[in-house]
Amino acid sequence: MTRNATMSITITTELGLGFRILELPEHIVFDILTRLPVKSVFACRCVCKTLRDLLLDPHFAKLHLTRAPTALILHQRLSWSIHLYLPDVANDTLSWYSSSSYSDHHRDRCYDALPKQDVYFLMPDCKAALINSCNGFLCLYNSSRRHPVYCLCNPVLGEYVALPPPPPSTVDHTYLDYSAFGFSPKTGQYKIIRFVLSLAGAVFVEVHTLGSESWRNVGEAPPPRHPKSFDPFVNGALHWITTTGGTTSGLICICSFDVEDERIRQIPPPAHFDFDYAGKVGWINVGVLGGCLCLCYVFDGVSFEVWVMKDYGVKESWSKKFVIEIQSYCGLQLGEVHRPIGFLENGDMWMICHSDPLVLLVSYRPGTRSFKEICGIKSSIEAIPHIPSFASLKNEVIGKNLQVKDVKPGKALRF
Amino acid sequence: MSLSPSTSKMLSLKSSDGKVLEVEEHVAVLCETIKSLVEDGCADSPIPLANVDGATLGNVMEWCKKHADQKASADDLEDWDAEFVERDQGELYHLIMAANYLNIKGLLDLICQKVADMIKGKHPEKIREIFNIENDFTPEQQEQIRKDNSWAFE
Repeated sequence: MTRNATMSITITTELGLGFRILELPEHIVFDILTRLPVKSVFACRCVCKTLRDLLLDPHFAKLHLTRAPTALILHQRLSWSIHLYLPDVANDTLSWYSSSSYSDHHRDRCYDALPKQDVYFLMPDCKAALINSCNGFLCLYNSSRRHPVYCLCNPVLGEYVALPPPPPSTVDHTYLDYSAFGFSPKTGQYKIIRFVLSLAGAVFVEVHTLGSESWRNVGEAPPPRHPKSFDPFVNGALHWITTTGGTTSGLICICSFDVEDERIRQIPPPAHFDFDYAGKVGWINVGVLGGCLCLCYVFDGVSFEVWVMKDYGVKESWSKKFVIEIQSYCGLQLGEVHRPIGFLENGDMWMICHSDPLVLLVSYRPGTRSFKEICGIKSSIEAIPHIPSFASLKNEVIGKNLQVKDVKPGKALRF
Repeated sequence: MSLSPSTSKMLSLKSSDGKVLEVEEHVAVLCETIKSLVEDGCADSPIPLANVDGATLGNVMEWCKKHADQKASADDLEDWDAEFVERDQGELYHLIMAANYLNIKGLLDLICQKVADMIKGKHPEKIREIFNIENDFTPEQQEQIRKDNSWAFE
């Protein structure tokens, strides 16, 4: 990083006048550029060669990822396309609704198409379901019994790579409908895990390291209670909820898979999760809130609670983030109708709401206890949080016998 | 080291154009560069600041004074900062260079964000105009970049 941003540039401004951005030290230019939203980065790539080269530098991609605000990936189940939705929280004109008016509003409203839907990205040979996103790379899976396939893509850059196919299910090995994708900050490796049920009833974890040819069995693990953790990756590990002693009763545990050492561990739940309490917990899932592992659950059918583990792995560090009293929020049915899909940097919670015949994207702001409907879509849709990134998959798969395809992102289509 | 306003002594700072500014120590030490000099006992006055002109130094110290004020609330500071960055581009340029030289993270963040906000939502032509940047692409190269990322230009 010794390149000078002023090289090969003619500055027409007189000395002392104007803002000579290209004359600034390179780290400051990066500081400014990493604050830009995705579309402005593309606009700057067209400004001049100096800016273009800085913006194509992998160092820029790395820095930008640490600052980029969370976006959403929307995907119509088993369709060929994925959509990146980049919300503009600061300039959002959609109004918020208080709890009392929420359900009425919700019934009467005629929904428009999704606003500001940004990238439409067609996958070349994979009709797939969303797994999760990590470091700006999105993992998808086609669960075809005979030809299952995992793929990774960066929707911002229009890159796509199909991974070596995993072995299909057999008579004595059935794959559970749960996968997760993560990254080890120490080794720089990306890994995908999936669960296998043997004929004898044991559940094993299989791991694929990006760039390798195979899937490895790394041992027995408690099976996930849900097909999906809504945002499983934090602190170099993948997380899921499991129930000891059967799926409907018994203690609730949070399991983790450490992407680096591939060990499966248990994360202590909050102290109040004793046997009696856990018995009254209905829907429950793990996610990420403000960079911390969080637990979202419905207690006794009356309250929806969100707890955050401030210091990873430390039982005493669990603290309550917010509670929604379900009875006072008419129309809110967490777990059944409303499902959390992620949290924004400002603490807003995104939910997907299956309100037949519509599917709605709903945002909840704990500070003001208000809801906002972002859009309604007349089809079955899944959504996950995704941090848009300029990191190239090509840099991750160099020399690994994998071919990254360039799939030009297209014009945003409406659902 | 605890530097409370009541015990704070004055430091004199000398700008590149020879102007001397008297500043309370607890204000001046918001500049990490000055803070290390003070901590090392090298803050003999006046402290020469060869890369900052007098007008810019005045602006920087105005910012430091506001941010050293422990009575200022976060909301108050936010409003004040928003007004502080409403100035011409030349001044912003000198401020960002000074904030870098004097190592004031808060001020550097503030101005970097202001510059990013100036770029946001603008077309390439407008960005070139704002920063006086010459277009060194051929029309073909330009078209290719736009075509490759057409979704971003709608």
